[in-house]
Amino acid sequence: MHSTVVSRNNVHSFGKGQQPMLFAHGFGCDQNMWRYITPAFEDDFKIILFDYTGAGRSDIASYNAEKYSSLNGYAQDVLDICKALQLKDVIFVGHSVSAMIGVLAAIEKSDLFASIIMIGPSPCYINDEKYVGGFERQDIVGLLETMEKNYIGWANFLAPKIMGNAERPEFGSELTESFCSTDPVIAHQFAKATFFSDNRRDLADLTISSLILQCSEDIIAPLEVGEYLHKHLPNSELRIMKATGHCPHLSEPQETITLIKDYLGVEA
Amino acid sequence: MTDYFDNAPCCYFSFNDSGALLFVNQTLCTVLGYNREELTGKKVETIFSIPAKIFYQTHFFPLLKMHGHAEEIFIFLQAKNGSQLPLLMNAGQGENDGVPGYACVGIIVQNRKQFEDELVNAKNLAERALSENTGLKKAQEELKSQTEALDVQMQLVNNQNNKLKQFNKVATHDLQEPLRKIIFLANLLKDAPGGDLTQQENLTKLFKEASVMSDTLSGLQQYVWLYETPITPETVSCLEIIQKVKKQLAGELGEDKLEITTAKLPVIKADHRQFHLLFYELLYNAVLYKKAGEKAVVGISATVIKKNTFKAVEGRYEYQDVIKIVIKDEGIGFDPQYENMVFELFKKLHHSRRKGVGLALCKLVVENHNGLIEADSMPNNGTSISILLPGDMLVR
Repeated sequence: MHSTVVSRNNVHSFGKGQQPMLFAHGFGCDQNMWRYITPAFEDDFKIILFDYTGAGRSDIASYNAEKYSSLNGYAQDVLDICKALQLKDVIFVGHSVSAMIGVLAAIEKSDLFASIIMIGPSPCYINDEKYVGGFERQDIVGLLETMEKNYIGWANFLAPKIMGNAERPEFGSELTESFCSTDPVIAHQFAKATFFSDNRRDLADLTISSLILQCSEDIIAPLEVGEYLHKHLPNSELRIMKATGHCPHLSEPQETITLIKDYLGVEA
Repeated sequence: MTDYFDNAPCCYFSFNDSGALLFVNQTLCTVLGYNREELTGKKVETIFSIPAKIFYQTHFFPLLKMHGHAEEIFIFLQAKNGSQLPLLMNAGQGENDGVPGYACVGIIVQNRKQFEDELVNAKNLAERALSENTGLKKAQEELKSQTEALDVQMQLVNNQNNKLKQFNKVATHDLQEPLRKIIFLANLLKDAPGGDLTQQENLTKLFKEASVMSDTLSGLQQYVWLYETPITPETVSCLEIIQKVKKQLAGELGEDKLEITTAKLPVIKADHRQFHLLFYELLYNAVLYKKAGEKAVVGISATVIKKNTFKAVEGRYEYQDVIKIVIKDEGIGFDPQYENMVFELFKKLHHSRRKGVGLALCKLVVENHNGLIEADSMPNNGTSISILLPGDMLVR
C-alpha cells in the first residue's frame, strides 16, 4: 500500500517538524506550484507534496475515468496518502478545487485532520438561482474548448510523457520542465469534475476549523463565493487578500505565507 | 522604429505579476476597438473572453510564472463591442526599467481557427462515432448492468461463505467442547461411589458448562433468526430507538452507567426490530468495555457522504449518497489489528461473561440492509464504529 500510493501520487515529504502539512494542488497544475510557499514552513512542519492521479508526474496508468469523474475519487487519493504515510492531525492546504476535495476527505475521516486552509475555494462555480458562482454553463463549455485547442499546440511536449521516458532518456530534462502538462483526456475530465461540481450541501458537515483565503478580483472564486463559504462553513475564518487573481501562492507568496502562519499561530 | 512596432501586424501586450497591463500596441487597440488609455493599467483579463479568463488563471499564468515562457497558446480575446477574436500567442518573462513582467505577442487566426475547428470537429466526430457505435454502446450497457449484478452476487457469496465458516466453527468447536465436558462429567457422576461432596462439585461444573452452552445456543439462534428472516422496512427514527435502548439498558445494567450525546441522527426506512437490536448491542458493548470507575460516554452522529457503490468489483466506480452513522465511545478500546475480527461470530477480545455474539449480530443487521460496518479503535483510546447505509434509505 505504502509504495504504491507514494509512486502513484508522486508523494514527497520533507521538513523538520512533526505535524504534517499536506499541500494539494488545484486544477491545471501539480505540486511544483507550492515551491514559493513550502520553504517558510519546513522548519516547523512535516511537508507533504503530491500530484493527483493523472496530474503532474503521477502514475497515469492508475488513472480510472470513472473514479476521477467525481471529486470523491480525488478525495480518496488524499485519504490513501494519509493512510499510507500514517498521517494524523493533518493541516490540509488546498488550492482552488482542492479546498472542496479536502472538505470531502475531512467529512469522511474527520479524525485525521486538524484544519483546512483553503486558497481561492469555491463550492460551486456555476450560478444557480440566487447563488452567485461566477459562471454560466456555457462559459465552462468554452473553457473545455479552449483547453482542447491548446493541446494541439502542446502535443509535442506531451508526447514523451505518453510514451514513457525509460527508453528515451534524452527527454528527461524536458520532462522536468513540463510543468502543468497533463494528458489532454485527463485534463478534460478533471475540468469537468471541477467546474460542474456542487458541494454546497456538504459544507455544514465539516466539523474541523477552516481558513478561507479570498483573493481580491478573483474571477474563478469571486468575493460572494468566499462570503458564502464563510457563512456556511462552521468554524471558518475569512481573510480577504490584497493579492489579485486566483493564484496568490504564485503571485503574492509572502502575503499567503503570512496569513497561513497567522492562522496557525506560528511566528512569521 | 516605435511606429513600426506600434503598428506592426501583430498584437503586443505586456503585464505585471498582479495582472495589470503595462503596455499595449496600437494594432491590439485597433482590433479590440479600445483607446490605449482605456487599457493601460487595467487587468489583462479585460481583453479576454470568459473561458480565456479561466484558462489564464488555471493554466497560462501558472505556466508563465513557473516556466518563464509559454508557446502557441490559443485563446479568445474579447473586443470592446463583445465580439470574440481567436488569438495564437507566445509569451515570455522579461523586465522593463527593472519592473518584472510578461510580454505577449500574438496574431489573430480567424482562418486558421476555422481550419482547426474542422480538425477538432473531425476528431470529435470520429471519437463520437466510435463511442456512439450503437452495438458497442448496447454491449457497454449490458456489461455495466451485469457488472453491477455480479457485484451484488459476489458480495452475497462472500457473505454467505463467511457465515457458513462461522457456523461450522461454532458447530464443531464451541458447541462440542462444552458438550464433551458435560458427557465426561455425567459419566463421573454416574460412576461416583456416593461421595456427596464430589458429586456436588461436579454437579456445579455441569451446570456451569450447560449454561455456557445455552448462552451460545441462544446467540446462535438469534444469529440464525437474523439471517433467515426477511427485513420489513418501516420508517424508523434512530434517535427514538437510541432513547428506548438507553432506558432499557438503565433497567438491565443500572442507572448512570451510560451518557449519550447525539447529533443530526436520521430518520430512515429500515427494519425496526433489527435496528433496535443493532443499537442495543453497540451500546451494551460501550457499557461493557468502558474504563473502570467511569461511565460510558458515547457520541452518535450521522452525515451523508458519497461512496463508491461497487464493493466487490475492482476498478469500477460510481459515487452515490451513503448515510454514515458513527458511534464513538471513550472506553478501553482494542488493538487495531483486530478491527475486522471483532465482527466475527463468537470472537471475544476481552474476557467476560458475554456470549461474543453482539458485533456479529450488528454486522448481520447492517448487511441485511445492504450496508457496511467498520470498527476503528486504539487501546485506552475508545472505539469508533462506523455504519454505512445506502442513501436511498434516508427519509429525512
